Amino acid sequence: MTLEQRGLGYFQIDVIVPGTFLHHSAYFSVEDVSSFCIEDVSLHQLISEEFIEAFVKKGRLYMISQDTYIDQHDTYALIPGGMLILLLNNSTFGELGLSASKSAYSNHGSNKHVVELDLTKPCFRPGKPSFERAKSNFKRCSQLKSNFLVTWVPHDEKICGSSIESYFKSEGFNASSCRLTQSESNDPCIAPNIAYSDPNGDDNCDAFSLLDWLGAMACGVDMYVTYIAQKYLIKMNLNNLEVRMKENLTNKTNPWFSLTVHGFHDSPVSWLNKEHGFHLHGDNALTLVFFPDGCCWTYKILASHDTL
Amino acid sequence: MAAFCDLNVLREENPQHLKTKLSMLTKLGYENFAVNYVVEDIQGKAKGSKKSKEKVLIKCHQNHFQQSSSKCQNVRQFSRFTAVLNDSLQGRRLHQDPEIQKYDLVAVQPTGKQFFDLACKELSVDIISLDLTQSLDFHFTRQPINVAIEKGIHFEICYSPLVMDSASRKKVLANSLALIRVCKGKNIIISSGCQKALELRGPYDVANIALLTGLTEAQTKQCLSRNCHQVLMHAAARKSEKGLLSVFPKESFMKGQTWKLGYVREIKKDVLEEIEPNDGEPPAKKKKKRK
Repeated sequence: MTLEQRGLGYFQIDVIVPGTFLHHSAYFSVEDVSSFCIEDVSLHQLISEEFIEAFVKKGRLYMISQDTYIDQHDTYALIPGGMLILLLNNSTFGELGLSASKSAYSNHGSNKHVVELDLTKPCFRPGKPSFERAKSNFKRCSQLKSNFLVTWVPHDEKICGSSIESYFKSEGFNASSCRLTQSESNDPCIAPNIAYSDPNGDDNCDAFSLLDWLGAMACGVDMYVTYIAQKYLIKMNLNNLEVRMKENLTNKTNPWFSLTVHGFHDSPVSWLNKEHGFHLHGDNALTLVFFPDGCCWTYKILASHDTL
Repeated sequence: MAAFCDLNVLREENPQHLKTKLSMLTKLGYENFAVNYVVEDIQGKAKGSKKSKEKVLIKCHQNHFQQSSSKCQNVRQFSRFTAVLNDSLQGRRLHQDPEIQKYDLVAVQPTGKQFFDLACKELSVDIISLDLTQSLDFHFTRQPINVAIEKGIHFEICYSPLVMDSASRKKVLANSLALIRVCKGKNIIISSGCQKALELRGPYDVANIALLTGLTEAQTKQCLSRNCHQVLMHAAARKSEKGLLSVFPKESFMKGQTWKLGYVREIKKDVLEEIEPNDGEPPAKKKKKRK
């Protein structure tokens, strides 16, 4: 459930497993994920009818603008469900001229504006005023373009997810695939003892110290076994990973294992697709610690202005 | 928010040193910066500044920044002229010299109470930059500062003395606390004013340092981004006429907006009627008929 609440994709996943862990390659098959980057896409090309009908309505489409900083630039995202979200600076908003709501963090000094367009609405089609207004205004604002990271999971399993890449190539865009990189390390160190029933840790390590320890592991201080799959992963694959890891736990080869997913720091949306609050950092991560009896600790790591 | 700016990068005689500073700034995440040329006495050295103007406006090649950091794509460089005000005539010279007005930003550094009041009330400059490392021989008063804020003039705090030296740190903190108490955190910009590239810090670190000067969390980031953009806009507005015009083709009007074209036609008719009298006879005939 918590994985479903997470907003956009992830750029890094850390799995920390104390004890011996064999046959890891069977658990981490990331080849079926097709993520790629397309360059210089204008927003009016994302609301073309052909694109909406073929991809937005027929699958879960994740798109996020690349090399844009949430507190400096305009950031764009297309989230599953066909919602196009633009987080715009004051000047761009004034030039664009579409209706928007003020940022939820305006009392924290943010002068951003949030434009939300539901691409799957029945009234959002050529000929209707809302569509025509959006299209003409996007065309007029030449600065509304960016590189995008794209992942598409079609509803129909027979269709290949990479067909969106060939669509963009046929439209004349440069598309480069983002290969998922995987690394592991087996440094010996003492894993903390933890118990699900005792989160305050009288005898064992308490929950907050464990999070610190996991953070140190992920930063490469010392590691038992860590598998890091970088770049862009999506929920479906993550759930598969979770299921596979749980199977391993039931065999009682490991006392526990942790799974940390790092969300994009500059994504316009955060938990439950709410606006992402960013002051000095945009932490946006989730850590799950699984125990053999099926229990789980959940840590939600938020940015400085985010609320649940 | 907008991109982070550093509007006080001191000019170096050696262009290589300046390039080191600028590449460090882009690496740290700044996108706009102004190269500052400080002049003690405009009368004496402004002529020199004309000669060395090419040196002041060193434009680094775009590739240079991209090598240092792939993050910054829209790096913009501005020029800034800072005059030390120790004579009331300096202000007039500042306005009259066309060479100075060619700089993107014009700043003054008043040295006493009367010059500070003069800069706030009468001069049309973008930035008032005080030397906060010295103990000021006057107190900040609300009235001139409020006038300056209304005019859109910004006050500058340099952070490099805060980083490098403990003696000047005390004075800078005390002075900037006094300044921020009076102007209530409005119209403040924070810039580096550094001698060496080593003294530069990242924008989020600077925002943390600035908390010590009595600004709120939101204001600290605004001092580095939004307020600096207001300075740039103020400078652009100072040079140009005030007005706004938006032009787009007639075809871009949608069905619901075509009524606007009707107004355009009426305006056109009025304009034509006003122009026609120059041709001579037809309007004169009309007048006769009315009589």
